[in-house]
Amino acid sequence: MSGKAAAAAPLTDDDLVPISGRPSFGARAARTPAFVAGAALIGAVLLLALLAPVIGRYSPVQQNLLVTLQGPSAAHWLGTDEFGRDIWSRLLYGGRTDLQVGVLAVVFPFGFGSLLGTLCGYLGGWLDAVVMRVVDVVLAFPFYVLIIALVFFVGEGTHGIYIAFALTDWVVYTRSTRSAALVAISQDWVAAAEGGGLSRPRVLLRHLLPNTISQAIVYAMSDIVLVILAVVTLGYLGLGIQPPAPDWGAMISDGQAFITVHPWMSIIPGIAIIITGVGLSLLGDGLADLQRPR
Amino acid sequence: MSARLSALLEVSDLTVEVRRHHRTFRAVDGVSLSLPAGGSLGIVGESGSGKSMTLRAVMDLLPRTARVRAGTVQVAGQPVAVGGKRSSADRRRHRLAMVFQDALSALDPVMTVGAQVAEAPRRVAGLSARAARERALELLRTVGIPDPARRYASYPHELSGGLRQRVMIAIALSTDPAVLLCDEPTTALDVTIQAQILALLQDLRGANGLGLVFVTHDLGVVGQICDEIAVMYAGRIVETGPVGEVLAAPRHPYTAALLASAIDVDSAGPLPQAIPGAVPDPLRLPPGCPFQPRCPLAQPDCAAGPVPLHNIGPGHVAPGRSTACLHDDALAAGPAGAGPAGAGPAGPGHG
Repeated sequence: MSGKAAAAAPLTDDDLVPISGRPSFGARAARTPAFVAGAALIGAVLLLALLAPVIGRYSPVQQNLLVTLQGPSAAHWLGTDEFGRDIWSRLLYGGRTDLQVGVLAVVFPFGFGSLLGTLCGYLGGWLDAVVMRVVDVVLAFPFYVLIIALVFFVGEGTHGIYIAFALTDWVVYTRSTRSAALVAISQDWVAAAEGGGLSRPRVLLRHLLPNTISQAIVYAMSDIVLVILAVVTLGYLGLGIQPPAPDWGAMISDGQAFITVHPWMSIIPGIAIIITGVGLSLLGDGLADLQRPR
Repeated sequence: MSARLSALLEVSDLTVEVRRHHRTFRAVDGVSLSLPAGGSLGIVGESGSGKSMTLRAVMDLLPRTARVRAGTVQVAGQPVAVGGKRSSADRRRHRLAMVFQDALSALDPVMTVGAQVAEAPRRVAGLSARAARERALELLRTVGIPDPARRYASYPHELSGGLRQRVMIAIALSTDPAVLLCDEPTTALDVTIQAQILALLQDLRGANGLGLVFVTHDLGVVGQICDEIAVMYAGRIVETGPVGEVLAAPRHPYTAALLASAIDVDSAGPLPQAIPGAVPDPLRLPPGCPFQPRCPLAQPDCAAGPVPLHNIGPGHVAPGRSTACLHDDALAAGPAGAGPAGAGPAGPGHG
């Protein structure tokens, strides 16, 4: 098995057959319990939300004052609210709104923050110093106070939520990926990649980012839940999704007035949020496990 | 053998400063090295003597706390930027490659080893994806990895230490280097694997005219695969010369002490002798010769001022030998404190 003997042997066609022996992403994912459980929960929630027009049976905003505050029945599976709107329909359509807002509000902070943090850790210097001071300033404010102030300033509704999160939420990703990048650059593989003549953008995007991003992915999943909760809070203050559009947060706060006599009005959307949150967390853990080849 | 006219790699007066706790010290102090084409130079010394820092400065891959204070590096007669100014285009042109000590931390953990070997052929040499893959398989085969097609898709943590080291050598070779800088490439390996890796490096040198710089603390390894040796202590070169000459008749007491501390399996000679004292704190180097507090030959003049490297006068010694000792004649006459050279090098290998 000496190097000399091996060097003498010519490369045969056998060496060029498609590389096997490594299970595909799907096969590895199927063996990651957290991923499977999370994907199942989120898949179910997504499916229900997508099928809302088919299985919703009623318009989510149609009022029927003859059947207000009813319990579950054959006509209204989960009952009705104080305006006689079908809770099952509102739950499905609310899921559409909340998932969409949650995912979209996180996309920019996740992408921009992770890239910026990795870049700062990689390059250091004045860029790092300036960005980290900005991060400190943003983090110095209580999160909700900042979001509420920004939404109030920009205007309520989904627009305000997207902009407020875009402006504030990136700092979390920047901080975590920056520290991951600092750990990475102290390892020789970054030096090896640079020493091999690879360009800096390539070292950043192909080598550093895949190593720094796994924590950010995990956080992004719980961040979606955080956005949904923020929408709930904003809805409470009249700054969230504007009525009569359905949204889980608004459903919970509307039901609050009837909590002693008709508790399901708040409990049902609460359960939906919990299922979504648990599903996203499991999905994040599963993705992180898959990202790290162990 | 000393082809100093057409040096492949020429390092002149390299000085590297490292900042630690708001104070700076010279981790590398005025080091000059010369490597002829196809030559093999060993740099030996204890931990902290500045060997690795020298290599990283030559590669321009210093950590952020270190910077090049002075010195130049030339490859094949052309000056190469040092001190963080080297662009990736410079790196491609000058063809220096490095093999790191710890292969696990020198391989990207989330990229398959095949992709890492194929990366430079694909992105730097501009081969097609398929050609780059074939080149990577060929390199994996060259470095003696059995069944390369199967290993191609492995992640670094799935390979043994010896295989990882081979992969790293394959990555270094993937850039088609003229000089391979090896930073203790066998230290983390067990002895049989170490012998295989050394044989591989020796083969590569013989085959391609590749220049080797080999940093190690193992004098036996240097004796096996190097032509020339440079002994470093406290950031300075204290003795240089052809390997056989230096190991057989050291002209610096530190070299002699290193030899005496080496474990010798062959002979039933005296037990290895530890060097008394400790490596000096780089922030508080002793005056004059840095080895003087631990030296059996030390005289008052050793602490008087800096002791530069000087040629050993004509006599029975080969040309190209120099030492940074004022009293090396005492070693030539008959070793006082240090025992006779233990590690008998079986002469430098072919090439």
